[in-house]
Amino acid sequence: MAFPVLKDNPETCMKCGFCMSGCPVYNIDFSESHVARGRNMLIQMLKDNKIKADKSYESALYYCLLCGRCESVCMANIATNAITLNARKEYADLKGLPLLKRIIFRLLLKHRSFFARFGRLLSFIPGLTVKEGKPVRHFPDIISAMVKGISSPRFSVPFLAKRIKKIQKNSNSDTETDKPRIAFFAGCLFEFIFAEAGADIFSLFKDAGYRIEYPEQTCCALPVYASGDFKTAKYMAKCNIESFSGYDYIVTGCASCGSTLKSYVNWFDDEETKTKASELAGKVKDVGEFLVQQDYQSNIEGNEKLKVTYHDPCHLKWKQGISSEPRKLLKSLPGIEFIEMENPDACCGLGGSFALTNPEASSAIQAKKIESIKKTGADVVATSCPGCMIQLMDGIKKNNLPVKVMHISQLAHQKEKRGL
Amino acid sequence: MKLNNNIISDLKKIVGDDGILLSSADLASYSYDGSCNWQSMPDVVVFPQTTEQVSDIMKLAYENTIPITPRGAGTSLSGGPVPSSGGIVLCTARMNRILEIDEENFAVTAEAGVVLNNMNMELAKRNLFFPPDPQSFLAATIGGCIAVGAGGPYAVKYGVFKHYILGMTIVLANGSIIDIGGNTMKNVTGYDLPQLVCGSEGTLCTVTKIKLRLVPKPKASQTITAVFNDVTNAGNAVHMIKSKGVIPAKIELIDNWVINRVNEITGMGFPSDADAILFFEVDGSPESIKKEEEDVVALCKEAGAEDVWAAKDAEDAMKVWGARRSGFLAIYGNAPTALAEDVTVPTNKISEFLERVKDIRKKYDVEVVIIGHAGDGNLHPTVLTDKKDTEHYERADKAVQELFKTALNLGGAISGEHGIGLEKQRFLKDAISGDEINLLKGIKKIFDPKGILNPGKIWEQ
Repeated sequence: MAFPVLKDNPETCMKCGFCMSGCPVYNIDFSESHVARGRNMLIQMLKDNKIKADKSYESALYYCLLCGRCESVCMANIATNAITLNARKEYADLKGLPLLKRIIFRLLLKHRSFFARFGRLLSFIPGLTVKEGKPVRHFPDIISAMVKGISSPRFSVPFLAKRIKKIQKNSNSDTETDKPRIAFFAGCLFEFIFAEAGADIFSLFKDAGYRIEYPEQTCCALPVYASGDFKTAKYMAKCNIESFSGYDYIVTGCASCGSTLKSYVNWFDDEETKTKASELAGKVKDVGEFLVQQDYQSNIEGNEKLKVTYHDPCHLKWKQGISSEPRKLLKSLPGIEFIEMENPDACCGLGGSFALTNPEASSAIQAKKIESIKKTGADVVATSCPGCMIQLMDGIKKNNLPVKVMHISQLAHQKEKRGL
Repeated sequence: MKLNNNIISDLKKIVGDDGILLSSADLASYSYDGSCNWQSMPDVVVFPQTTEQVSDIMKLAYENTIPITPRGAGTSLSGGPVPSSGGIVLCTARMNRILEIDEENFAVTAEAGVVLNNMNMELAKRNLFFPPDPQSFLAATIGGCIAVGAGGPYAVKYGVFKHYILGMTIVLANGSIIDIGGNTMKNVTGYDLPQLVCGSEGTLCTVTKIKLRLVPKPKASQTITAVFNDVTNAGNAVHMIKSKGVIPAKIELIDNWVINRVNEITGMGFPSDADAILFFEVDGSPESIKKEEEDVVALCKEAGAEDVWAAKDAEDAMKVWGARRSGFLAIYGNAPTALAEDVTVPTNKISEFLERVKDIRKKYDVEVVIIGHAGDGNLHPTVLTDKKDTEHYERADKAVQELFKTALNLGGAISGEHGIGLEKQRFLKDAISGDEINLLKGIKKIFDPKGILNPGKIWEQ
């Protein structure tokens, strides 16, 4: 007798507890409701009417970084992140989303042009903006103190879209139509926070002679989907699916965006959208992965030895299985001495809004990471996700370490970015 | 039972506000363990960080007669740490320091909440080896392993947890802290209390520190795979190899059902009509493993193996053991409920037991699959079912009952390494005599006069 087993059914969890072994959150306070097994059980107990959907249940649902590490050790091959997300949706349907989240998701993230205008307005507030690489101090630190957490990232003006227009105008870009068409998916953090790094990725491709474009796009919708607002998230996903059809590759420098674009296929039931999403998923490439596959040769010259270590973003390693390519790229670059840190695949602790809602746990996870970085004596910690970059920069600042945080593609491209 | 606010605030004084859980979701997540059927809510969960805190908690429980259930990671398969009488769950997960690695005397001292795999990683750095390897090692704590008397595949050659205990620190029901056992491998000083505590499932005391014996890491190992078209021959091979004086470190067996699922998952391409496959690991010096490899290959052939081969290199060996491990995925990925049993038979009865399993499968029309430790007779027959399908589940349960009866008739035990807990209470009377059960109860009374230590476990009340 064979039983049909749905992978996103919490009942399939055999409670072996293997998820405890790598879970960054569980390994801070060892509390069962903070690990996949505990959440699976709570979600099932709610279905069986054994517990109530109260605040403590909500807190357990959100006490998760969605890093996906538990899935990599799961004996029963369970989609624990999907189970958690489905439960968040059911909880949001039952209790409604908080007003702030509704505004952010349904107005700002859904419509990027609104966000751009809103961000532009905010950027006039002194201290919220990076000017010539130096943030004006104080204001963000007050905000940080208020949330007891990470120093709030600054907007970088001008935003990425504007910078890319400039690059496109200045480049004598070829329009050879036989080259593969590459679309750049930036994601919100490169668009608004790390616009300079975002522009670096784009110009790396331009300079290397690739046919790269920057199509109309919106947020990948991960924060929206992760809060259980599936309706808005699906709308956003459809916009991106439409906008990115017709390209040969979709390159992104954001591990979270990349993994989300690949997961759209699981969001839809109708065959038409599913097929399109599946096509999209097949074309998504992480920048490092793409460059290594294309056998990219950096044109940087130099004998300086910059000590570089690499932090594996969870959404790249656990969600997309990419960890050797970024290292291969780094090791191939001239002027770099690669040093592996202890537990390079340990989470940085950001987890999107997790860092804001659970600052103590987030900081404790971050502290372990910073300790590993410190031990390497590296000059630069490179990574493949702007989310991780925020968290790493914050940790390095808190500890006054002489370490620079860079996106991996910045190291590949321009010598001056390395601070040499 | 509801605890009054004074008790809660006293507990907070002992472990701090961070060391206590009271919310409904938190309590619910300490209501189960790794087994399928048992659930009961605690009133409070506490996380002590020192032996002294455990002692203070115990004193409070003793004075107020509150049930107290110790718990490590809750990976047990017996219902042992399920707080079936409510009260306090005492979770040792934050007592997770390795206190001493004594390389000269081959010993390690660790707190009860240290995760086995974390300890093993530290030992490996020093070329030391702690052999008992319960397959929950990624999460299971040392304290939990001691509580259930855990073992694993390495038992064939190296034995189980109880064979490695030198001494321990325990907290008695009234809160007194005592050290039992000692530092030496040979030690006959009155009754062997550490051996009594090992396997007592938290019903006698709470263990807070453990001193374990270690061995040097073997220099070399080799993996051999043997395919059989008749599971009886596989059983005979195990017996023949051991009687010729060859003691492999592990001898694992998977049956036809598991072979085919493993092929699907890993693409190993094992013969799909094979009745059973045996995986051997021999270890020791490079010279000795060569000889043992030849012996194992020859004896498997003599026992009627269709095909036998040794791993080409370390990578090849890793693939084989990866395939063996994927057997768990095969089982848990293919059944909503898997009743993973733990019966053990003497090794000369393995063939007979495997034949009887086939009969049971037919008789109750349920899938009973085998992925077990053939080397020590701990075969782990697992019945695949669905808790929600009442009719099927009833048949599955009957099959389980017959598995137990069969094992006992062959001179075996109802639990090799999981413990009795709540899960196997109903079989205890068949396994041991009333007089023996009375002795157990009498011992419990001496340790726990008020009956507050993990009450309701091991024997039926």
